[in-house]
Amino acid sequence: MQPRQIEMTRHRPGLTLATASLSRTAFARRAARGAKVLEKNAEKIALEDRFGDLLDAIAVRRDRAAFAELFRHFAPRLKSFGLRGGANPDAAEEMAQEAMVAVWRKAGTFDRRRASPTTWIYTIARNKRIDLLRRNSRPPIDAEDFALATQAPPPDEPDMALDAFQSHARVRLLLKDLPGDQRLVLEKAFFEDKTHSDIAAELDLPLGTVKSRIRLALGRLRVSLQGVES
Amino acid sequence: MIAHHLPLDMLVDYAAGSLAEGPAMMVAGHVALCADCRRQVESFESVGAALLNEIDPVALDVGAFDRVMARLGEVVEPAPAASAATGGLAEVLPFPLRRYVDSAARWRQAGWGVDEIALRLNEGPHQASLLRVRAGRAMARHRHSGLEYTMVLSGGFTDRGAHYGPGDICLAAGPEHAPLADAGEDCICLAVVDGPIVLTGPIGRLLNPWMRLRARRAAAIG
Repeated sequence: MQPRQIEMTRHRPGLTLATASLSRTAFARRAARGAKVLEKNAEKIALEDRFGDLLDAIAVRRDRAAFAELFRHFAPRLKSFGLRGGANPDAAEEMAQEAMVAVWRKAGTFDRRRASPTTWIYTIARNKRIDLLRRNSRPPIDAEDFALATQAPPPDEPDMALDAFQSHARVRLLLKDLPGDQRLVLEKAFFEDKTHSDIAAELDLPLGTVKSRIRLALGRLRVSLQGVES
Repeated sequence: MIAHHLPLDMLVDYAAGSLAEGPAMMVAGHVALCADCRRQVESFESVGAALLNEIDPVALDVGAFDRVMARLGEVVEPAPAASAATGGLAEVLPFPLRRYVDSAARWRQAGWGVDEIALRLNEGPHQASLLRVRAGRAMARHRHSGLEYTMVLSGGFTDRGAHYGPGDICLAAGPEHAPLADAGEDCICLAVVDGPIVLTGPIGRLLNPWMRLRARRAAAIG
């Protein structure tokens, strides 16, 4: 895992040129920072590994202690996620609790080859948000089906055994360096239940600007955009 | 080989959960058939997860933990079978679309060279339907007052010089066109529109008031 990370850092534009003229101490400082990044990356992967083990324990042994640990970490974040999505405190509370119950019930469908545990839990929470928060004005839509579509594994994809944990950890690290305007549109998209058009209207920006900002942000997070039409 | 994909912003909005049901259905159907776009959606979901990790936690109500723990033993009724569709139709529908079509669904002549099964959406301004064009036939020349996404489910068609096969998405907005179904096999598509279709041929113009009436009725029902 680690060599890939080192290579990535080396390829960051501008860094290679700068390195040539670095003094020895500056180089040492930078190397130390690089090592720290690696260490943090490893920590995040270890944490995701732990969450994965907890989900497996729930799936295999219906392990309540494992669930309690996941609950402590995720439930307050999911409530916050619901509030950011515009839910009132009661609805956000309900969404968080419902999502956690769903984590318990669906743990058997978690597959660590396909998604990191946090990503898997995010999709459950997102679907609960669609389900609960839109129910007020409209009949409920069963968002689970949509989720199933992205999770239903065509198992014949060996090269697709991408390291889901690794890429999740990488995205988390890179998120910290994202410019404010790009971070803002991403948060509006993922937290505030707003489409590209909604965001453009709210920020009084042309739709194209919002699209390119999100695209730039995803590029910085090194989310591959291959084969996608603009 | 799927050649025509969905735009990036739709996949992002889908991963973020903000897409209305009609377009979300299109994405769900497409990613069920297209491994590249599915991977793409998954990578966008990992961005959502990374943001979720950094969100400021908000304490749950007192007693929430106990309430949830008490529910873990509940017996859950198994969900009803996802597909109520029967016969050949079920086979061409990607899994996420099956629940929209029940066994009573019948093709109806839509009057412009296509048969149609209207699908019931629970939210949003869109209309969704399955369309069938007989092998080798063309749709009546028409244009769109809004945006139309069409995804081929079986067979194929040619439109404005491009060919579309199963899983391919054809985005039509504005200008008139008359897609031609491949010879040899009926073409079945999922279509999601956000505005009525306007027929532009000589006979089509006479039919337009009727089409609009149908669109209004469908909207009232949906």
